[in-house]
Amino acid sequence: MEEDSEKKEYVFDTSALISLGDIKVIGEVLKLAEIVVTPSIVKELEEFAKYDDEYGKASKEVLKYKDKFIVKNTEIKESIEYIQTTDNELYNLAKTQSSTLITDDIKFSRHVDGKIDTQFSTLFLTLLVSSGHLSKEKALELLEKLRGIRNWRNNIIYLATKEELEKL
Amino acid sequence: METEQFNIRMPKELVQDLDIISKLLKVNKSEWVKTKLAEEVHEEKNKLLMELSTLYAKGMIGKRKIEQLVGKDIADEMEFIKKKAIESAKKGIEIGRGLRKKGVRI
Repeated sequence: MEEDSEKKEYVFDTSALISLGDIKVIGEVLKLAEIVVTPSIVKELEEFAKYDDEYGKASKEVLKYKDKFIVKNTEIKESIEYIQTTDNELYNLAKTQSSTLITDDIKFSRHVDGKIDTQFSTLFLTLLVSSGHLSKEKALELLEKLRGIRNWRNNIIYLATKEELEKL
Repeated sequence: METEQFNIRMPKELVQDLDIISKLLKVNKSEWVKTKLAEEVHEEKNKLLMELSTLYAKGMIGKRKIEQLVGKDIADEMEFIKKKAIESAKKGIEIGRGLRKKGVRI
């Protein structure tokens, strides 16, 4: 078997990186995919990392891999109403390079849906299982952790992903 | 913040208890009630939406029922999240299988 020499690039926002950092799979993801961010995302993570709460801890975990990220500056050519500048940068970056945007921010995802391809970070859990790099049992365990703060939005993502994982 | 008048009649005893709290904590009675009510409403709303979202995610109730119970905005959001979560999971499986076929190791 050989390493993938042409890894696919995915544009990540802070929420998705924090989710994957929380369950400590950034290292595994980087072996299969390129993580593309803007300088604003690195700054946001560094801000979160100043605190010792759950977000702070996850951000510190993500920042361990900062040197392996592809950091790209981007110009906002098309601005979407009701979303922040940071998110508009990511939208433009994903659109320019025809990449999938990985975000767990529901509002952001809904605003750009249909304009670019967006997916939740849970894509990488099923990807790691189906590529044979993570057991289904471990993925279900990580998914439970990813559920994190129990709110109804995360609950739907958790239950829908769990159902798909259990089919594998 | 936009506000709306909401009047309620309370038992005298409860009002007296509120007076005691207000004096001991040196807080405004209305403000204290407002804060406590907000906490309770937030918690109860989340609890009920958790139950509703579980039923919806498991396919035990449909979007129309959600819409009847809590309105179109939440029903639309639930529909979007469920659809996107299934899509993400399936896409991950497809990409992962492709990598496996190519013999990609990590």
